Amino acid sequence: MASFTRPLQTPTPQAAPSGARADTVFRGLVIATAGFMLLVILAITAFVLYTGWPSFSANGLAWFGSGDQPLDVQLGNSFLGVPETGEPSTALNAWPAIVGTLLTTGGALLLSFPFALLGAIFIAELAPKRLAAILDPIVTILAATPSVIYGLFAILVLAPRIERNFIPQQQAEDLSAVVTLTGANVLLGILVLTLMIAPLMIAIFADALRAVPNKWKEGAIALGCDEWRMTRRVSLRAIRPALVAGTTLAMGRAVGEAIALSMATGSIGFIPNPLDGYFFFLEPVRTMASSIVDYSEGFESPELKANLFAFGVILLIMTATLTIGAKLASRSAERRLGGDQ
Amino acid sequence: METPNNERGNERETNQDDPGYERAIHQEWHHALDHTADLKAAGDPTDPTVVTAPADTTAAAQASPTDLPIAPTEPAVAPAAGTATAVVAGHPKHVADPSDLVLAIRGLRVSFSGNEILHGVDIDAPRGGVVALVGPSGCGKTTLLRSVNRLTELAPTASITGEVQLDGSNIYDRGTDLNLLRRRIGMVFQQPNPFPMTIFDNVAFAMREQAKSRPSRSSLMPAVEDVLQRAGLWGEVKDNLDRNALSLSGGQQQRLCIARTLAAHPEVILMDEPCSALDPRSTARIEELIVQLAGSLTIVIVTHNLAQAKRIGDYAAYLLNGDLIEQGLAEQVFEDPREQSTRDFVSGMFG
Repeated sequence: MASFTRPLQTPTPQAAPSGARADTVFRGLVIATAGFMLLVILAITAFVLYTGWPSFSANGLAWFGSGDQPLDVQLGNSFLGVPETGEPSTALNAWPAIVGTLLTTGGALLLSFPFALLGAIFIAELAPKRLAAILDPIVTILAATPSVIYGLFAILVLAPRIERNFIPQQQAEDLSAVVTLTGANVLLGILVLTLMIAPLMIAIFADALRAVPNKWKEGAIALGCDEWRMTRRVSLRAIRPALVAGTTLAMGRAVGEAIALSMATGSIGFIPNPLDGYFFFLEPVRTMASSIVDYSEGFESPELKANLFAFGVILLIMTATLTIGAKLASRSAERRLGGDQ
Repeated sequence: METPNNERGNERETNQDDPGYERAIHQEWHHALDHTADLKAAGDPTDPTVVTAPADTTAAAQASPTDLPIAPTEPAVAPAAGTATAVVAGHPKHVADPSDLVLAIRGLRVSFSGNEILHGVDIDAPRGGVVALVGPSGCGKTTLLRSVNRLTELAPTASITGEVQLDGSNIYDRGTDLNLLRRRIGMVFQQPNPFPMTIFDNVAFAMREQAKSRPSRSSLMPAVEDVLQRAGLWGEVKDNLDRNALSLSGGQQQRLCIARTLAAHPEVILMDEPCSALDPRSTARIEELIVQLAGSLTIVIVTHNLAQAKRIGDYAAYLLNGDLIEQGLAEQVFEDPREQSTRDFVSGMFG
């Protein structure tokens, strides 16, 4: 009987304190790192708010409106000075940049979501194993490709083709008084953003689809669903949280994308006119993020700095709202289901 | 495991639309609950209340006002209902005619990547009966069960020969409509697997799947209520049909899965150790349910639990290492087996 109790004895006296000390040190490290991260985020937010504030206080609500002067003239003035006085001015009506960001992001999401969903279903459910094994790393590489590569691809490969095939000479001349039409425009911006965020969404959606428990899939098949119906009725329902999370992440990347869009959209602070029909999509825009990149050389002017950081404030608020909104949306969806998992 | 809600399940108010049905179920409930340990007694053919219960249940199911184009299943239950009281002594109570086989498995061989799991098995399932498949772990019971609704072939390495006859036609014939087959032969899995959606949506799943246009909730409600009643879950969930099914207890989830399967109007339900993940009380309720459903349906159940097989089985088949050793009336297989190997197994000498 006595021999059975031996393994149950406590470990040797030396082992316990040193293990406990290691635990304490580790826990301290984790807490310190997390605290440091939080501090950095708060510091960045405070700095951006502080630097951008003069732009908001100088312009008031007009900041969000559209003014008489084009966006590019205003940004130039806050850098080079107003022509009459030579004094730099913080006057800014940012509506064109806000429209540019919303148009490119919204368009890219509308285009990439169905594409990404079907792509993920193909890779995770329908493709033969060997094909999926090839497609998987390709999607991951595409999702991780630096955006400047996409920008180069857009400007060197896609832009000339759009210019040649979609922009009739006559129309371009008619509109030349208002805006110059080139291959770099809203359409190209949407396309390049779609190319960037679709692989990200495919990767997240496909991972979620693969993680759907087999028991649910078998359950649906045993109820007389074929595989396509099973995917539609059970798997897509099960991965809803991942659909929300993947779309939010993609939206965050799209809203903040600067370099590729600076190259692809033509980077002119223009508001495309819906009355121009399909030319709406061939007109240039400039997003908030690419405005920051395009004018970053002028940072020594405090006025320009304030204006560009004001864009930064709006971008921060947008991404934070998106993240929190998505969290709330998926949580309320769960609550509506009454689940407690 | 069980929520306090369970207690409400027993205090069901009389259904105004169909008082006879409700009363029969009610009596059956109390009868069964009083004698949960003695389910054989609950199924005693001399007890009129019990024998009529499945018949009434069936009638209610068929009379339920559903306008859905349900799979063209024959009213296989009608003869069993009509003759239930005239069962010859010694025959299982649920079975009208032991020679009327709803399922006949003939020479079934299954192998995975060349490794043969079943070596030519013959199993008979008389209409309306409960057939218990028993045997030690790894003897091929589950593979056998999954070959009856053709789930085995989802594994790309599986190769299957032999016949499984459902109402006389081989389900492995070319041109079999797999989706229709799987509605006629439902399945309940070892792990309760309700879908991550509401209770209502789980039950309505098969009905919506079979409907041509999307049916409204109110048009589905009578049928949903009916199958939840038959699965003995209505009283516990009727006020919470929009709750997530995953928030139910394990036993409730398994009864929900049975309701979900019933909603497809199957002739046969395959059950793969449906109680192995459940506590004793939930197990007793599932066993009760199986006894109630038998007669209107045929149930083939794989179980590790010999006592369970004895309690609920009308017929039993003993498998060992992929071979059928013995099958017959459960009583005979368990009390007076022909084969020494069966005798060893049922007396608990191995397995």
